[in-house]
Amino acid sequence: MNGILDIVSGLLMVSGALFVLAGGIGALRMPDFYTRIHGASLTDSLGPVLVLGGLMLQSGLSLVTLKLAAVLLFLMITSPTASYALANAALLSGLRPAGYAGTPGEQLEKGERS
Amino acid sequence: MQAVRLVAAIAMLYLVWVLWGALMKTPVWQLGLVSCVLVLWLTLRMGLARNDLLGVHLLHRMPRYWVWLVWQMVLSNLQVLKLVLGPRSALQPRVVEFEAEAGSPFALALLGNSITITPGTLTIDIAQRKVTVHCLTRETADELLEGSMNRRIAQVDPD
Repeated sequence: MNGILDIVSGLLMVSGALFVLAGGIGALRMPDFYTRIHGASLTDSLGPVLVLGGLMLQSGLSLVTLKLAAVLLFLMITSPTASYALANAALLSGLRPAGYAGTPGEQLEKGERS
Repeated sequence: MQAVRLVAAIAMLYLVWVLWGALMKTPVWQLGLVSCVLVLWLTLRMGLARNDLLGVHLLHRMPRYWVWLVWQMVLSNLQVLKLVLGPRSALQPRVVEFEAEAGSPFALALLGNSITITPGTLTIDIAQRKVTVHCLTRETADELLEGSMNRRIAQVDPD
């Protein structure tokens, strides 16, 4: 039983690490700013889920597992927020992605209010 | 009433701090208490302590959504993994806009973050209900515009 658990958690952690590696490769290989964020987002979606999932299997039913779950929950909330902040800051400071014709909302709202 | 809420908030924060592995030595637990008060003060100072921010009453509908979201994450991670390792000519970046079905701050934050956390789609702007998303390929854009994520979030937060 223990052997199987070890193998499964090892597989989870290794595949999570591979996703993080692929995220790094993606951030380097992609052609422009916004697509680079897409590449890097591999690092903070399935990567930590798999790595922390593997660690949870190692720690079993204990307080450590609860803490790992909390870490995962906070990561799942904060990392997309950070990606959004990065992309939105780029958009508002004038870097327009290809095929974008609109006006960023914040500028629009400010314009409408004044 | 406000005082009760503040004390309750500090008690909650301290409970979390204890759970995080508190050392019950003399200078340490007082420092924990101080940090709880500090967090509360910062939160009040930023004006984030509004009631509408956290959809606690919606929490019971979240697990079902999370299960669906994790499955979507698996699918889109594999999709983007292929794009990252494959030829660059497979990329067809585009920007799409759509209206969110649920307009509460909680639902909009959940929608924006859910879009961003599934690789291949990246929320770049939210204004009122108009969500602007940068997509890596035509397929990811089509999947998003098909609207199942939007509908599911409207089910989680139906007001």
